[in-house]
Amino acid sequence: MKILVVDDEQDVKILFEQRFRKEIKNKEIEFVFAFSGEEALSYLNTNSHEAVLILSDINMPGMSGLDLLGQIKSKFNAPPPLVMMITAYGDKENYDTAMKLGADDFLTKPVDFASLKDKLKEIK
Amino acid sequence: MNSQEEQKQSEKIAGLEKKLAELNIEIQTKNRELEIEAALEKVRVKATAMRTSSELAETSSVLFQQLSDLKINVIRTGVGIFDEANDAMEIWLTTVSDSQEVVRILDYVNLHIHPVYENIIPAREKNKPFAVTELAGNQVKQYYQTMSTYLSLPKHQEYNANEYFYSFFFSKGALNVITKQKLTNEECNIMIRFAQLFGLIYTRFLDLQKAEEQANETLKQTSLDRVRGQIASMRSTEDLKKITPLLWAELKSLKVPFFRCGIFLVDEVEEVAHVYLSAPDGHSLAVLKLSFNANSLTSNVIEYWRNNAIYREHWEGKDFINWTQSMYEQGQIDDKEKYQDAASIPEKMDLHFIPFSNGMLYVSDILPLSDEEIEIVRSLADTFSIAYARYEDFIQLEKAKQSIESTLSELKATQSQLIQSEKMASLGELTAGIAHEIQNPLNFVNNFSEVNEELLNEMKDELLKGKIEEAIVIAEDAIENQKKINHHGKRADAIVKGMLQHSRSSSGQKEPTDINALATEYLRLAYHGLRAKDKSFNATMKTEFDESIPTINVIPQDIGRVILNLITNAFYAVDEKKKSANEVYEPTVTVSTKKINDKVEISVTDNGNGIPEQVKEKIFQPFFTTKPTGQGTGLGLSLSYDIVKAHSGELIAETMEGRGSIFTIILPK
Repeated sequence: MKILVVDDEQDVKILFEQRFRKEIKNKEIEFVFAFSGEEALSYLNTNSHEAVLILSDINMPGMSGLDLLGQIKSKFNAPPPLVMMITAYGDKENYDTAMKLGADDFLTKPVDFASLKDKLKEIK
Repeated sequence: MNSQEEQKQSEKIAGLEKKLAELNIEIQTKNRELEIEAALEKVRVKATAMRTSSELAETSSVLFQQLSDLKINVIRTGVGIFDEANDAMEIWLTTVSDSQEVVRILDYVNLHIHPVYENIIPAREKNKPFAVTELAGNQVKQYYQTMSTYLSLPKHQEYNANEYFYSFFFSKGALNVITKQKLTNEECNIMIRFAQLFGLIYTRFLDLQKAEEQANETLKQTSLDRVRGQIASMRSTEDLKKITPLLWAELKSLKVPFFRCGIFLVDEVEEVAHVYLSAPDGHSLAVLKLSFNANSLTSNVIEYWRNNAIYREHWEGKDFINWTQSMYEQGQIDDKEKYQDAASIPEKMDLHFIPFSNGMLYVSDILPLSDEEIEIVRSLADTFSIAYARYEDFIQLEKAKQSIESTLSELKATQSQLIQSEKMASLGELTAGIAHEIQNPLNFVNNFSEVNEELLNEMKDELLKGKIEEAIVIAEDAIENQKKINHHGKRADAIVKGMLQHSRSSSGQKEPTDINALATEYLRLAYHGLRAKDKSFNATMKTEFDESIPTINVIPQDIGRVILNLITNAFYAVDEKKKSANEVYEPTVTVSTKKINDKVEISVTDNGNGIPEQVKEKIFQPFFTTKPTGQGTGLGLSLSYDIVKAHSGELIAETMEGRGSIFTIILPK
């Protein structure tokens, strides 16, 4: 399973790689990282259908996670990838907007990696 | 010799004698004429030499001396000047005072009072050269008895049998002579000539008097102008002290005699008179504070002042002593001799109080001042009113200044509070952004330490299994994570420190600062702050940094606030445009730095709506804001401007309506 992680924090890459090192080692999960909404879109444009799940931060300079969500849900629909939004601001407004745009899940920072792993198992 | 010849001879002798007699008479007449001419000439010379009107008396006395030299016997002489409108005559006599001869009007007599004078009227009407009235016997006695109540006449033990009252006319008056015998025709003619000459003298006298009046008026005006000039140069209440000595100096230059003077300032609120006594040279003799009813003098002065009237009082030496003693006893003065200001107590003095707007000018002399002198003091008093009004204006001004100064310091206090609240407001805007900024590194710290716990457990397992190679690989990961933990811990620390710096009052200390780092820090803070407040907000942030910029000496938290303010404004501007934009619009805020010669430029560029021309002028004014009420303090740009100025820099706004704005901070390196 290929997961695209979108976050403007570079260290997210190392963190995910460490957190999922067993899964990566066992080739259960493959991670791809994009550090902005724009980068994520260009990745999706060239590698469509590869990523099954997109984990995106909302709060990013330039294109925000919500913008990205909207674009993904409108452009990539055969089949549409799952998009989970992650944000530090777990407020209702962000949640409602994300859900309206078609987010499949909504996680708040700090990410609970145990429950994230459970969710990923369900998807598999 | 025959009788015929004798006869002829005697006729000839008789003819010669007659001729001789005629010649004698002619010579006598000519001599007399020469005498008269000489006498007239003496008077004329004296008259021509008259330089001041006061010399009239002297000239008159020369004239009357000539009469006696010409052996015209008179009992008394005088000059009468007609008061045409009232059928009256001023009678002048010459008197000699200590210093100079003065002309005094001795008497003023109605012509109808006695035939001696009444006869003058028809004689003048008929253009006769003179009028004469003869009094005989009892008439003489009656005249002196009757007239003694009206005129200054000599006292008589016995009376002349006859007296002749002559008035020889000139245009404005008459030479009056009184004789025991009727004057001969010749004497009358002489008197007529003298009267004509006196007419000329009198005309000259009037001209001189007029010139002197004009000169005096000029002198007075010059003097008043000097006082006015001094008043005009008054700049503070202190300057009133310079005016008063000048006042006395001018009184002296206008020849007003006085030996003590002062100013009574009336204070109606406290009902006291503040008295500043001085000598004519201006040196202070005493400062008294007298309540309105302190003594009769003060209460009189106050009463007259209320009526805008001049108050006079005559003092004998004992009055002065009593006054001085009472002032001493009341503790108003502590040195009686200093107060006296002279070797001896004045024998007598006349006190004059001349009112002006806020009090009385006081002058005293050994004699009462004349009306003219009082008039001069009054003019000065009027001028002094102006000075005093100015003085009060200055007091008002100084009060106003003080009140403005205290208002200003209150304002300054308020301003510093406002600056603080502006700081706190922008801090509030930033709090959410800062929370986000801290949250991220904290998440990393937590996550990496959790991961490390797992890794260390795994490492322990591997070591227990004796798999040292595996353990080393895990340890290397753990070390990397540890570095990350440390890095993000420091990052959170820096943010908290930055936040504290922002809220703290400026230390005012300049320190070498990396402008690019400062700009980056505040750009992130501003962005996340706005995002925290408005979830829908988003904008592209661009940085164009000139990496060659050296560290420059600035107060970092102050310049940081300026950058923050400019960026926040830029974000606000692009957000506003985004809300109203129909077409595709990419809100972009660019922060760029550039080194130009010895200066460093920091620019914040937005592609918002720009600033309308009429608003542009006001953007740096305190409390000016285009934001809805409650959303902006209107202090951001104003404070920014002040901060940049305090760094000897410039803050420049360039804008194009509909296209965006560029705010540039230019700082010296």
